[in-house]
Amino acid sequence: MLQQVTATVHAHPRLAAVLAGTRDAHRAHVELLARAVPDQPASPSPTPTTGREHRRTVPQRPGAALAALARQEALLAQLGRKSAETARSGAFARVLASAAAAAAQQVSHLTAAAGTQR
Amino acid sequence: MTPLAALQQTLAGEHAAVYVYGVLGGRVSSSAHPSLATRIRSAYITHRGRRDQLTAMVRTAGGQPVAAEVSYRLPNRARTPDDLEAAARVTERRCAAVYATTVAGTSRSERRWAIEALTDSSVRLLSFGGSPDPWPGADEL
Repeated sequence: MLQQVTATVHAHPRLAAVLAGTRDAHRAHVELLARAVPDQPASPSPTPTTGREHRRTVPQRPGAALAALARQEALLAQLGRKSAETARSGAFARVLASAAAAAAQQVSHLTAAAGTQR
Repeated sequence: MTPLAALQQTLAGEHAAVYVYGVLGGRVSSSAHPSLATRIRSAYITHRGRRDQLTAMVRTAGGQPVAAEVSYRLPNRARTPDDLEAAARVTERRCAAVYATTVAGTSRSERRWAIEALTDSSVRLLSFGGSPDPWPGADEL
């Protein structure tokens, strides 16, 4: 997800300010979760997919690019909530639930920002 | 913290939130500030519903639900629309912190309830002018 946000900023430099907080949030999540799960080589902040591999493409229109990120944040929030539900450690469940809530905030933020781009 | 203690702590937080939103609702002009009035009303209804759910959850867990205080200190003077929004933000942040603690102290359906409440409160914060945060409810992270 962090890479997707970064790719969107590269494709649309004008969105850098809108996406600054989004990128900071994912960077914070990646850093903390990487420390919490040191043996996991995979990205702790995955870009959700529908199961099919796809290239990291960014829509050409800024509004569509933000809307695409919002959809991915929604999937990430859902994934985070499910993971928090089943986490064995209560402390780790709290971390995951907070990260999921942050993703839900980003859905709202990005959706609103997408609306101003159209 | 036991699951019952976590639920009781959350119920105490909801009592405070219901009180604060009740006062805020009485101080907002629905004609001059209809959007703010609607948002405060929505928050009041949500927290009142959660208070009732928690009361039932505490009873199910074998506890005696903690009672509300007679009154609570407001987060600020709560006079202007800006004051009301700021008070709502403080309330949602406090609730989010309590919900996050409840996530850690519970499991299964109770934890699921706390996760949903944390998400809702975090998004509701934005509707009152708050900014997205990397760790809603868990500022120390």
